[in-house]
Amino acid sequence: MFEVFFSQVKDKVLLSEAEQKLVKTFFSPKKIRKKQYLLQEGNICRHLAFVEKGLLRSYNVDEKGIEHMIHFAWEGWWMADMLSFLSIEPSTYHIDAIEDAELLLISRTNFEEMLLSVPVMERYFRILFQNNIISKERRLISSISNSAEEKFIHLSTTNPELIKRIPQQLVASYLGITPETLSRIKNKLAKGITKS
Amino acid sequence: MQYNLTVAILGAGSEVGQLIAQKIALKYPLLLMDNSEEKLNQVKELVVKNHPTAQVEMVVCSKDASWEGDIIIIAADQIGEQEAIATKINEVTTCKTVIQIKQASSDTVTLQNILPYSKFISVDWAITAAIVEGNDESSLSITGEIVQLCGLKPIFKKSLI
Repeated sequence: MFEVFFSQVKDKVLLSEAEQKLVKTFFSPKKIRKKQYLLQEGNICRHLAFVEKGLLRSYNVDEKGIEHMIHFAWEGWWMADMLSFLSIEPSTYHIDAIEDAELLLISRTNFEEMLLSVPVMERYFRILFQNNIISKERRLISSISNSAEEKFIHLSTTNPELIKRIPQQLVASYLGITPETLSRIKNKLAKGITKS
Repeated sequence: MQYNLTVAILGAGSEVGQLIAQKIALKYPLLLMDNSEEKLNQVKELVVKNHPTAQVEMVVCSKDASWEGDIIIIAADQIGEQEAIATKINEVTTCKTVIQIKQASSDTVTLQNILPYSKFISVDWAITAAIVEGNDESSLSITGEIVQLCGLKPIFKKSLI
């Protein structure tokens, strides 16, 4: 139940057996089914979710009813609306499961308590948040300055699993392009034609 | 995260289990579990018949039901069965509300020691009222609401442990 979690934590920090045992007591294991919501727009995001198994997505829906993908999370990834979680304000996102998922949920109170009780977890989360900032900055720069083709190439290089595992219309939405454009880019790349 | 809290009723075929399932079906999505498949089918049919819009699922395993549920109600009649359920679900109920239903007239022991990391609530179930005992404020409030939906008056008592 905590295999992926501790393997991921141990990549970044060292945890003793006793600390692992203590950390476990702050998390609530939760199974959700495909298409089931974990968070709906307008509600406050009260937990951080770690994905032990399965696949989640976060997205918002515009006035025309079009979904815009924000983030995907599969085994070893975290998912939450951090803005809502930290500010305790209603979320503008939906989070649901693309595949049946096994999660570990931690509430805000338990999160704070865990960081106090197991200080090494604070270091783990600092590393995680740093990586998250870098990744968000990169995505922002890419969305401003890269062409659709460049965005796709970057994504396939940095996140090949995302391209393989996630339905193409969702990948297109994540890149901010239409499914038709994504299909054209993929065909073009398959034929070995790239922008010089 | 916030979503519709799902209630798992373990021992849903018992008299109290059936009553709770009937009364809360419109308020919460339900996961019903009972060792008797026949009783389980009966409860589900009854709930769906009375509340066609209710979200009700039957789950064979108490651990799976508790893993998926946010609030777990242990409503089996026999304490031996309750203890067996508690032992099975221990791993998946950390930080979750677990409600043990005890018949007020009996001297059923508490399952709290088997579920040390859950937000444990004990309910002494009588005819017109129920004594609700536990430490976690939010779990006490949810349990009080469930008791009320079942037509009983909740009497709150802070846990002695």
